[in-house]
Amino acid sequence: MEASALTPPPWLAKIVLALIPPCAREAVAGDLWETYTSPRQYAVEALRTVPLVVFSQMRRNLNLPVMLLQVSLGCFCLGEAAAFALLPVLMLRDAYQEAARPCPRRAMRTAILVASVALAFLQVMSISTDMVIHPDRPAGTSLLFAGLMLSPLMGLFRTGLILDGDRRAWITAEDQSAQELADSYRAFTRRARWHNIVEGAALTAVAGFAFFTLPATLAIALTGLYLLVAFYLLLHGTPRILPVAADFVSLRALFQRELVRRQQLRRFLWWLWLTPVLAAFYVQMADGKPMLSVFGSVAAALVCFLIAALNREYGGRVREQVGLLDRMRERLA
Amino acid sequence: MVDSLGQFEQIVLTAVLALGDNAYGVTVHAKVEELSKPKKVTRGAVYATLDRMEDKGLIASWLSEPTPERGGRSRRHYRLEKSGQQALRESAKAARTLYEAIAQSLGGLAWKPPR
Repeated sequence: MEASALTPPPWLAKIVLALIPPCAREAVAGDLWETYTSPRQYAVEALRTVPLVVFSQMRRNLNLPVMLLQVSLGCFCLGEAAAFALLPVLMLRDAYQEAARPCPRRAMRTAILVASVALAFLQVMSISTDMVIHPDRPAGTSLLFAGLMLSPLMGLFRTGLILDGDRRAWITAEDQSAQELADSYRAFTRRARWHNIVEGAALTAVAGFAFFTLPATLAIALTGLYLLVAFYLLLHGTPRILPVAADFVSLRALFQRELVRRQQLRRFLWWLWLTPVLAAFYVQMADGKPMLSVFGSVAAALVCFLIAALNREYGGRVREQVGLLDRMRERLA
Repeated sequence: MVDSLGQFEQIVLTAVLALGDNAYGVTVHAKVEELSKPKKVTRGAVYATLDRMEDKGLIASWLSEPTPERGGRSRRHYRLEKSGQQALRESAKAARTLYEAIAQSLGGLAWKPPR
């Protein structure tokens, strides 16, 4: 039998590949290919398999505290119906997140594109830069254009994050001995512990500030939440201690689990830091003036972009590291 | 103390244990089908269970080198971790207790589990 008869048609393989979430693509696509007998069998098997793989990825990437924050924020700003309609979209987006970060060049291209669109918009509207922030203009209008002009900077910020992330990889070598991997894990644990102490202290300081400056109900809610998270960070936030008798495979699996756990925690913390800012924008702007509402939306969009960029970059770096660990072979002494 | 396992989880872990070094998606699915006869099992259900077991730390996984018979893609291999072995042992112990209670009430069963 010819080899070509035992491989799925390229168009079908491409469709199936696109449907499998990137994090599971390698293994699932390979398994489907290996058991291929006919295009019909391949398509049926893919239809039976892929939905469960997608659900599994949704479950794996589900970050309940982040989801609760996003839904609360959505209910607050957009209303309940829109917030709940967003839920499946957010979950699907999480399931299909890329297994690696975008390359810096692509991020740079996006930044240039956004800058060009913003400048073209300002040109078409016949608005020069000195008119953007002007004492006679309504604050909302000025800030709306300021927001537009800031967006390329946000794009550049994201590019910077990607470039900076390359220097902060926890694992760099493709093959390591068990001892080297254990050392990398210990370094990761130490860094995470210090980071948690600093962030826990910052959260406590903000909680104290909120308690004495905000209105009573808001102060209690925010102080309580921030203190709770600070305690969690200090008591349970540090990655697990390395088991004494762990071999290379167990150590690698532990490292991967803790990297993912750290990323989930990080994602929640970014949302936690910036959700009160988003809510504050909304409260300040939603006083009935249409331009102020527009400004609120632009500012909120920029903050959301900032959180998304931080999450995407850090999450992508973690997924890259998990992938590197997946392919790592033990180098024997 | 590890979480108790569901029946399907026990079957999947048993399949991974029985296959040893050759445990990856296709072989695990085949073994699970063999152990669940006459019930049909979809491969997606096996993947979802393997993912869940991995998140619980009961199994570990890694990617092999890409092979041409898989269109240049890698296999994801699985191995039972110590906690997985412990969970499986406890499930077997519970199953044996259950078996003995049933056998005692019904006055014996045709098959006896190996001790």
